[in-house]
Amino acid sequence: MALLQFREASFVQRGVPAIPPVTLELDEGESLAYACAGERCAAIVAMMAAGLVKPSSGAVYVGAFDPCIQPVQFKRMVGFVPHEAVSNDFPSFARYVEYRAALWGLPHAQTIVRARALLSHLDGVHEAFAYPLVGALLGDPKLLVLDRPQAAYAPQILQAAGNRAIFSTHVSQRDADRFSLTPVRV
Amino acid sequence: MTHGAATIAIVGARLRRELWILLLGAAACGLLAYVQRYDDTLAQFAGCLIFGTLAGIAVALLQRGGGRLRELELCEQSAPLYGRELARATALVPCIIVLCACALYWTVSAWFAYPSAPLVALSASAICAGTLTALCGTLRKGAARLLYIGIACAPAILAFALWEWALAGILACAIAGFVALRQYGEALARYDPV
Repeated sequence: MALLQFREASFVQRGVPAIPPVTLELDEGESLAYACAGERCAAIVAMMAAGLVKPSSGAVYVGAFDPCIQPVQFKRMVGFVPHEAVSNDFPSFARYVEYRAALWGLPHAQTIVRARALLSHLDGVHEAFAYPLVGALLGDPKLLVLDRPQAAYAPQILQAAGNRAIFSTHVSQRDADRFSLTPVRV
Repeated sequence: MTHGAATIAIVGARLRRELWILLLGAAACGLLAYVQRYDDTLAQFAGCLIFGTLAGIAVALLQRGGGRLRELELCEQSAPLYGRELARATALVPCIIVLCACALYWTVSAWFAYPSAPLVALSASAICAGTLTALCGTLRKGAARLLYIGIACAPAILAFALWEWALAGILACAIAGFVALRQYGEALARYDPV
């Protein structure tokens, strides 16, 4: 069975269709750069894949978990990287990692060591974008969902993600192609 | 690792961001208490209920207003937490802020008339119940939001009506607060951060 499944998943907001029905499948270890009609569409599709937004009709599954029925199990399998850069609420990287570790119920000391190792793969990536990516990978998810990632950082992102499945949304086919055509991960 | 750690992390992160609002709200309530110079405990009680409820509504609306806490909200919502756990943690923040404001109001008021302990407890419970009700309104739009804000004033009115029976008032506000928190948790579980 596919790791990520969209089955005719659509989203309607205040009676207006925001997302047309989407059907797609992504297996473990695969990558998919999905082109959307615009920024709003890309953000909603990414949030649907991460279980933050429930489809108005159709269904989204990750590892056969339905976010409407098993939200916690669903979210344990997904690492979500929002488009918005992390704010400067946290005085240091360690504090940010502690915050994420507490939310995911991870042991602090081990998580900080792991976070520093992940951060070392993201050489050249601005910390505002590197921190959320490290945070998303801390829980050891099977699927990494990226909302409109920067194509310039694609090699580092792919390297940090390792052999996890990656689902990214983009505002155009050109952006999606730029992200997916980056050199194969190490 | 327990869910208590997640609650502490969420409250800590949000309070760091809301520190200025906490200080501003508490200072405003303290200043109002100083300006009023009431030597009547009942007038102090009414003042605390009015200013505390207004502060509670404002702080609750700010929790989800204008995308101020957007990054934190997305991070919290993508975490493997149930809606009720997230609701409890996020509801604690405005409650802590209004309780600080309420505490400063009573501290300043104590210079002019010694406050009655049951009335202090009653005002705190009414303000928290109002804040939690206003918090439910943040997940709604339009008329429904206005309705929740209107209902958020009810615990203060109820508390003033029951000032002679403080224990009954505290109990009523605690029940209202509990119902509002449950309602907030259920709404948060269905909420789409779009």
